[in-house]
Amino acid sequence: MVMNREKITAIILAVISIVYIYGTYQMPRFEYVRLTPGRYYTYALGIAMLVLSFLMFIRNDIKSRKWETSPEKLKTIGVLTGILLAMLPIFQYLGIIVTFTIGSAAMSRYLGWRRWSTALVVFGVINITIFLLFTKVLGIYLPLGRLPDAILAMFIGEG
Amino acid sequence: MFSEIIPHLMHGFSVAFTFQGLAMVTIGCIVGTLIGALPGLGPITAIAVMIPMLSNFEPAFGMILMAGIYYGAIFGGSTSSILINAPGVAGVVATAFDGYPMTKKGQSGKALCIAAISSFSGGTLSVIGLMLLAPVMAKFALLFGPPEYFSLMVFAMFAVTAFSEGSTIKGLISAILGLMAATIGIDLSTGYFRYSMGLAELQDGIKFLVVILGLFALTEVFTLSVKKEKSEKDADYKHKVTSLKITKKEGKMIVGPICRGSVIGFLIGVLPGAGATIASFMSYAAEKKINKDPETFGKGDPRGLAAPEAANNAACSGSFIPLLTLGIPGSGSTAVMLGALMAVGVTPSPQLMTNYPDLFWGTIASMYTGMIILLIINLPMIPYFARVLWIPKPLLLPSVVLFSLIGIYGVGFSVFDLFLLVLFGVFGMVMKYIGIPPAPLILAFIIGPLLENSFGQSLTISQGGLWIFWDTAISKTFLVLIGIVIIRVIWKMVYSDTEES
Repeated sequence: MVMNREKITAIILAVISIVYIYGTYQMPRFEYVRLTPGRYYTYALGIAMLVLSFLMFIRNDIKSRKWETSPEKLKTIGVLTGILLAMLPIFQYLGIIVTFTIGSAAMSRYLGWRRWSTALVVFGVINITIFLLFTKVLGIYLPLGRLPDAILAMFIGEG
Repeated sequence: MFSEIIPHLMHGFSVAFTFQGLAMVTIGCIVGTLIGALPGLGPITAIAVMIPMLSNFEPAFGMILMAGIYYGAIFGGSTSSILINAPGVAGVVATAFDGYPMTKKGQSGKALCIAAISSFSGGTLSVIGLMLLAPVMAKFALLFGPPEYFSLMVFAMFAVTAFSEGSTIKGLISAILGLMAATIGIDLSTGYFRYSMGLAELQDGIKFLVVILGLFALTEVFTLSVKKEKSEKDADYKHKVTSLKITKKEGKMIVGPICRGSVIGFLIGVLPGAGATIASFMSYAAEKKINKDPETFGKGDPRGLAAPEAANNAACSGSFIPLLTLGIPGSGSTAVMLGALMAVGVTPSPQLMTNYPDLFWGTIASMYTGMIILLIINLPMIPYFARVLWIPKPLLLPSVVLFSLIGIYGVGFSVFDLFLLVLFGVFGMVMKYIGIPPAPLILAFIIGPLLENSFGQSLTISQGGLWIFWDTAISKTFLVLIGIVIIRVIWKMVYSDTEES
């Protein structure tokens, strides 16, 4: 039997549904709660997914595929995801404006924009605008970041 | 009937004509038109990136803003279809059939003008239909209890998957995945934390904005980043907006298609699951069939442009009927709106019209002003708006990522949510690779808690008996309709097998 992406997905989904049903089974039973609709509901979902994954396996519907991949495409998606993931742990330290400006400029550069300076200016302006919109207009607090806070404190002084 | 509606409509205008109401509809229309005009970015992304800002507004104004973005994006989507043959949303694919050939003939301005007039007419006629039909539906909706609501939601989900393009099984898998994801977090009947894998961040469940922006905005960014640019030959037509003037003869020619397209669009838009895409294709096909010279269609016939444009905008307004009267979304876009309303404290239910008259009538009234604003934006200013197509991809795509990241962080201040956003973005690409449509997942994820809640309430009423869903006429009707949809699905599967063999 040839395993294609539909069949592999069907097997993965079947495993997910079994784990899901097992998760429902593992839920504690409460002595004084006579009716637990949530349990029936999640059992029903798990079973429905199991049935659908079986149907997907036997139907092997390859006509509904809309997108094909290639090593080049995977590389682009991988690099963009990598930049995103690299930005997230450091942004609490460097702050939204600095991290996201550099990260966006890096993405832009990878996508074909040649001039770092333009990218940094464009994304810097966008970032500062969004930051001010959230903090000043909408009243939603966004952290400036520990490093920018520390630098500001050095110049302006604490409090 | 009119005497009943007019006082309510006046109340709606009193909401829509406030400074905030007018500002929201104007911002919504502009943002919608701009984002809709960008190929690949549709109304769901446009609405989703604006959601973090909604918490500061009253639900009625938030809804006016989202509605403006929705019909603005459908309105604006025609620009990229006509100018560069790259539809921004599925609902405007049929627009390109005759719109792009008109551009090739050097009539891009004329095509944009016809699209704007048709969209305006279709949208306005449909709002009148919405205004007349919604109160009737809302009265009917008062008969709904938990079992009826549950059956209706299941029906809506089946309808969305049955009508969505591609494999129905994959559509259903998408919906069940959405429902499963929605069960993560606290179980309301026992207070137990389900499927949270011991992570404190998952105990409140996954935020719907994370799912939407991940599956739509981020996935679109990934897709567009690997998409090859159009050839130089195609690029020659780009950005050339010629004279917007249309002749008297052309004006007369498009009246019929606009009227027919509006009726078809509205009726299809009301049905859950159908929507702008099916409406525009059906009206195009109908127009081609009833005309004496069908061979001109596809070669730049204004009628072939007017009919789908009127239909997709009419469908867009029509899709508000199930949302506003029954509290049930019939499409991915309206599901996102419902999710946003839930996030600002509105409880979606069939009593939405009674409980939130400002939201209900304010939204309907704002659509009249919205259509006029869109006509103003899309007629004299279209050459300027078309310039968004000039934004280079390397600058545009990171900007969408930026909006998504800051939007998510601004809502929950959680870095975990940002990781989850990236995860959903990658998952969206995997879904694309397998051919699983994302819209049923979004719809199911948003109505999942409501579905579970009404299921629980029904079982509590019946003391655990499932017969309650077959006990009332309304619920029974929906169950029969679900049965018909299932039979249709099986028939489709068998039929496609026969065709293959």
